[in-house]
Order: sequence, then structure tokens, then C-alpha cells
Amino acid sequence: MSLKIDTNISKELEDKLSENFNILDKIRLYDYQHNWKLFVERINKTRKPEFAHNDRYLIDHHDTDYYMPHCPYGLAMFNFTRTCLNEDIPMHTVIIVTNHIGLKKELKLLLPDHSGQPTIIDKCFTAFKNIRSGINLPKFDHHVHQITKHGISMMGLPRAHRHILFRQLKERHLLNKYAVSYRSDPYKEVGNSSNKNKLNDH
Amino acid sequence: MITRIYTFPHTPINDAWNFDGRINGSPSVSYKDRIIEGKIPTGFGPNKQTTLFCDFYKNIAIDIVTETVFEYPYAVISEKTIRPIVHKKMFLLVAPPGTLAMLHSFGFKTFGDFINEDYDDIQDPCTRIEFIVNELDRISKISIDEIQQIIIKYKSTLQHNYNHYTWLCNNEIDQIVSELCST
Repeated sequence: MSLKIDTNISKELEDKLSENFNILDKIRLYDYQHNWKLFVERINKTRKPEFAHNDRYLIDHHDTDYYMPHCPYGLAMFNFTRTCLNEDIPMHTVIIVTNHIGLKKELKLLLPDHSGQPTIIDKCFTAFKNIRSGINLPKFDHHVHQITKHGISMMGLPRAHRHILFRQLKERHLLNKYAVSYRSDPYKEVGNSSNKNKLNDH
Repeated sequence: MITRIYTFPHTPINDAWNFDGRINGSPSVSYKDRIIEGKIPTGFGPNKQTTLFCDFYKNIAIDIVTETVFEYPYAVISEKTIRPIVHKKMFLLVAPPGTLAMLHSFGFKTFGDFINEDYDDIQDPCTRIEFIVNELDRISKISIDEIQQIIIKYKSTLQHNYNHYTWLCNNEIDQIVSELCST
């Protein structure tokens, strides 16, 4: 079974790391959260009986992990470290690129002292493609006299905090001051064609 | 091995854990302000828009960025937070606590004299969002003319953020990988 190969790690960072390390594979953890056997299959394709000093797996731990209340580490990181330990992947061959600043403390809890620690790149603001997406944009010209609204909130996928914000703005009659786009729960709209045009209703 | 268990409907978000039961459910009808036209610049990827530009964006003063997560143990930023930085707009983050502090640690400046940014220190998600909405309520009472003057006052901050973002994009990776290889 083939999974998405692209990671969210920026090409600039991947290239720079490739100049200095022999990257055995680039793996996006998000692709394996539903089935870690696929991760084992993937990693077995590139594993070596003996790793060279500069061999590295590049792990993309981007966006959100899944944190249960009062659990000090994420579900994906827990499964990842357990899988590596079970499969005897030396942790020093792993570079984790993450946007979770301070991920090191999770790994200290999850990995025994003798296993070593992976290299973690967590303080690189521009490590991921989406953060770099603004660099090549055309120049945005605007003048203050063009401003007609106090603010805008463009809400994408439905999230609990977006629901709350929208409800609050609506209840306090602030929707005339703040331009908002809000999507209701798309799962309610599945199979209901009458909902398709509601986005433009006011 | 733990298998991820999805709640129904599928909610791959962390705030589903604790927000459930504390809100009255989501409004059932979608909404879009008349000012917002065309495709909304969200998301990133081969099948999504890669541009953050929208013409209506010039008509607004503050971008209220609703980040991917809100109740989360780490500060998180995405292209949503980059949008106002690149377009030299003021912003207010509906994001996990410490996200503004993280931006400061990377060298960005924010708008603490105008927007009360104490929300960034509030750990409880309900209290934090209530604080944010109160702040939006306060700002809404300021006239557009005054808001325009405030933006002029912050012009150098907005330009700094844009310049700093560009600098980071061009230089940061070299620095970090050099440090990594020298250790």
C-alpha cells in the first residue's frame, strides 16, 4: 500500500539536511496514525543491518498530535517511540522536525536512558511549507483609508473554538463590525443538498 | 500500541476532548459576510490555494486568526498566522496559550498597547475565549477613524514583522542546520 510520500517539511530544510546527512527516508507521522504496521513496513524497506554515522530518518511531526487529558505526551509520539524501540531502530538515526516547541520533554519520558535520544528540530520557525507559503506572494498594497471593518475572521474547518467565537460574535451583535466566514458542521450537510447554498445566507 | 479512536462525528481535533459538554453545540447554518468574496485563503497543499492574498483583505483592520487548535499543550502557528504578518495587518490569535509569547521569542512584535494581549497567558480555554470576545467587544466601540490612526502608529511594527518573516525564510534554516552539525 502506498502512502503519501511528501512531507510538510520545507524543501529548503530537507535540502540542507541532505547536504549534511544521508537521509534514508522522509516520513510523515500523520500518515501512520491509523495503522502503525504500515510504518513498520515502510521503515523496514530502508533499514540497514548497520547504520553509518550520518544515516538519518527524517520524521515530520507537524501540526497536531492527540493529547488525552493529563497525559504528558502525544499519542502519535508514544506510538512512534514504541515502534522504533520494538523494531530496534536506533534513536540517534532519527531527526524529528516538529512545530511542538519543547517536544524533547515528551521524549525524555518515553525513551529509556540507554536508547539515546533523537535529534529534534523544534525551534525553526520556517521549517514547514505552510509557514513559508507567504514568502513568494505578490506585494500587498493597501492604505489605511480603505479600511471599513474592525476585523475579519476567516474560519475554515469547523472547530469547537470557532463555533464558540462565532456564536459569541453573533450573540453580542458584532457581526456588523467583524467580517466573519463560518462553516457549520459539514457532517450535517452530507447528503443534504439544501444546505449547499446556505454559506451565502446572511 | 494505542490506536487512535475517533469520536462521532469524526473530530480529529484535541479540543473535542474537553469542550464537549461545555458548549451548546455548533450553529447549524453556515455564514459568510458580504465583504468576503471569492475563495477564502485557508489551507495549504497541492489541491488547495497556495496564495494568501484576497482583495477584500485590504478593507479590514485586525485579522482574528482562529488557529487549528485552541485547547492544546503547545503553542501552534500555521499559515493562518502568517497571513496577517505577510499582509502587514494587526492580528489577534485565537490559539493555544503562549502562542504570542512564541512569536515574540522568534523576534516578532505584537500590538500590546492597543490590544490587551493578556489572553495569551490564560490557560483555561473558556476563560481565554471569553477574554478575547470581551476585547473584540471593546475594540468594536472604537471608531474606524481612530482605528486607522492606530494602524498608522503601528506601521513600523507591521513592516518589522514582514521584514523579519522574510529574513527568517532566507536565513534561519542555514543557521539552525549549521548549529546542528557543529554539536
